[in-house]
Amino acid sequence: MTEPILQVKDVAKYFRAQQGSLSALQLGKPLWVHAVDGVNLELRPGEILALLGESGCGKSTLAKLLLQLERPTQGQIRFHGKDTSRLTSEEKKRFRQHVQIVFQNPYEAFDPRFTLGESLRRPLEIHGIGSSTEDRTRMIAEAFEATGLVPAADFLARYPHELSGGQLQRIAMIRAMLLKPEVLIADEPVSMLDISVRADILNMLLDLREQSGTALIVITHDIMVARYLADKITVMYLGRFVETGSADVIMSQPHHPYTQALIASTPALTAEERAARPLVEVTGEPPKPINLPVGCRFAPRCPFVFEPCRKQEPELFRLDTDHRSACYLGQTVEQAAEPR
Amino acid sequence: MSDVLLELKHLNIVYGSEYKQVTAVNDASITIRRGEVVGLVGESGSGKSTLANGILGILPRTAKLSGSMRFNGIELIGLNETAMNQQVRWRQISIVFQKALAALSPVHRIEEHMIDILRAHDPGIPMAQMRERMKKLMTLVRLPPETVRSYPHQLSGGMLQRVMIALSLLFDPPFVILDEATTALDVLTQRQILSEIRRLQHEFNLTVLMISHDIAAVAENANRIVVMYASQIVEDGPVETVIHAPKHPYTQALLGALPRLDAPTGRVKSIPGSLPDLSLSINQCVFAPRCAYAMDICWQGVPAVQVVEPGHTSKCVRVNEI
Repeated sequence: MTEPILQVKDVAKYFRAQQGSLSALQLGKPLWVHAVDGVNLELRPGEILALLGESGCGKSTLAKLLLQLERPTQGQIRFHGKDTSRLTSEEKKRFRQHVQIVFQNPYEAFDPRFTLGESLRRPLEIHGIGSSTEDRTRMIAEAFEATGLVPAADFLARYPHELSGGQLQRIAMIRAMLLKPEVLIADEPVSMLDISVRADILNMLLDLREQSGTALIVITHDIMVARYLADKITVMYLGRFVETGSADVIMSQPHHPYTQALIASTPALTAEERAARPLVEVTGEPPKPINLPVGCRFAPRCPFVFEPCRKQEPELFRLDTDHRSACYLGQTVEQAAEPR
Repeated sequence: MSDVLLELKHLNIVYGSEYKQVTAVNDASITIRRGEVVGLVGESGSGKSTLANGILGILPRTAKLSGSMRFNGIELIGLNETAMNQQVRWRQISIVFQKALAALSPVHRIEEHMIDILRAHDPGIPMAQMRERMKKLMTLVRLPPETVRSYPHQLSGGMLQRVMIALSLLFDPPFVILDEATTALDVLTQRQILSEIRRLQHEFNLTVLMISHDIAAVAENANRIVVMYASQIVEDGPVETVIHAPKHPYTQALLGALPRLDAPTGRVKSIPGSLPDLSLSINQCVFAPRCAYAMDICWQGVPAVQVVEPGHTSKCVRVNEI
């Protein structure tokens, strides 16, 4: 098996809750937000991993940790086996080139005062790609033309506000791709875009893996996006991984009640699709990640909760070669979730 | 009493200054019957929110409406503000917006919002009656009655949207517009809110116009789908028919661009091209530049609305071939 590019070991990130909150003063001790709370993952070349979760589950914090935009409170992130908190400045530069990100909002991803040509040339200059300005401009123009942004010269001279969201997101992808990264992190890459242009971005991500073997981490709240892109899906809830496995298994045999609820809650286009979904009704909303319940974090909302869930937090139990679920229920969950 | 609650006929809404005029809604005709749940889908810029705000008469002053918009026998176009406030808004038609936090005042408790609205539309209403009404509404949307004492920031997204629904039902209106009412919520919460809405719709036989960009959410909750593209209504029909056998190339392309959870995963296709410039007058099929089926005839004038079968229409000349 090939060596992983990125390894995440027991990583946690706690943020101090906002000072000035009256309750914090009364308690006299600081409150901590458990944004990411002890997660492990490995990413190998050419793999597409989806981190699936709702708002506040910590998926974007994890992306920032992977990019070294935040330092973990505990645990280690390794890039080609080396702890990323101990990289030399030369290694760090290499890391920055090889671990790229595409953000959710393409309108905020470009400096409004630079033309797109200028914005795209800059990273190439920094990382010494291309021999001259003309050479770099030619590379960018070729990439533009390959994705249908023609005439390229026209787009290169434009400012971000002159383009649509779909076009800008394509350019954000190109900016990352030109650096030939080993890993691309896409943080909600299509959630701001209309359906008719989403497909372009999704297909660009698939092409990138096919053509350059880039490994992808796709962060999304949209189970359909995860299903479409990923080989492996990891489901997050309140800072923890609750289920991991191949995309097929997660979709066809979800084990964790939260995963089941996510699939059940996603609107289905047709009655047949609806009939194929699990029937899981969940009430309430996730608690704040400050005062977490003892035991399983999903227990307060879980329709299948029983004794052990409230006592100790479940580990990721192994169900199959690479299918794991942090739930005490064995096969009974599946049976319980069969359409009644 | 007629069966038809709202009838839009050849409605045009144009935003404009002296220099530039943008047609946001172009020749839209929709008939909504009592008790129907009509889903209005379209991408950003298609004019769906302008249409909703037009019905309520809450468009900016630069907007000019023409055509006809009859609600329960009253012509809404040209109706003065006083009449609109006394007879239509809240009492007949209410709206639930996407962003509750933007729609509510951050420095007023929920009850203050409710009392304000109740007093504005029913000046003589005694306090006890208002309390009674608020309590009843909170129970209706399954929130504890003391929630009315809260400020908006103290409530979660799901609770706020329940408050918004309670507000929309203050005067028992027969018609409620949901403008992307669950778009900002997480899927688990969205499902809870949508099932509440379905329950209330049944209980009060509400007529609902559900505006959303999420076709699947509309498919699960509406009886009928109206598809808008670039200011025009391009298809209108029963949910099952439109989803399984769409009769407009835009609806087909839109469904083809949607990643599916259960369908075999082939690649989805985007729709090439972009929205036309709505400040220019359009004398052709509005979708022709992006359409895979376009022929010469599509460029020669705006296609007439074709009846596929009773209750299902498409604005495409090749409707029988696709």
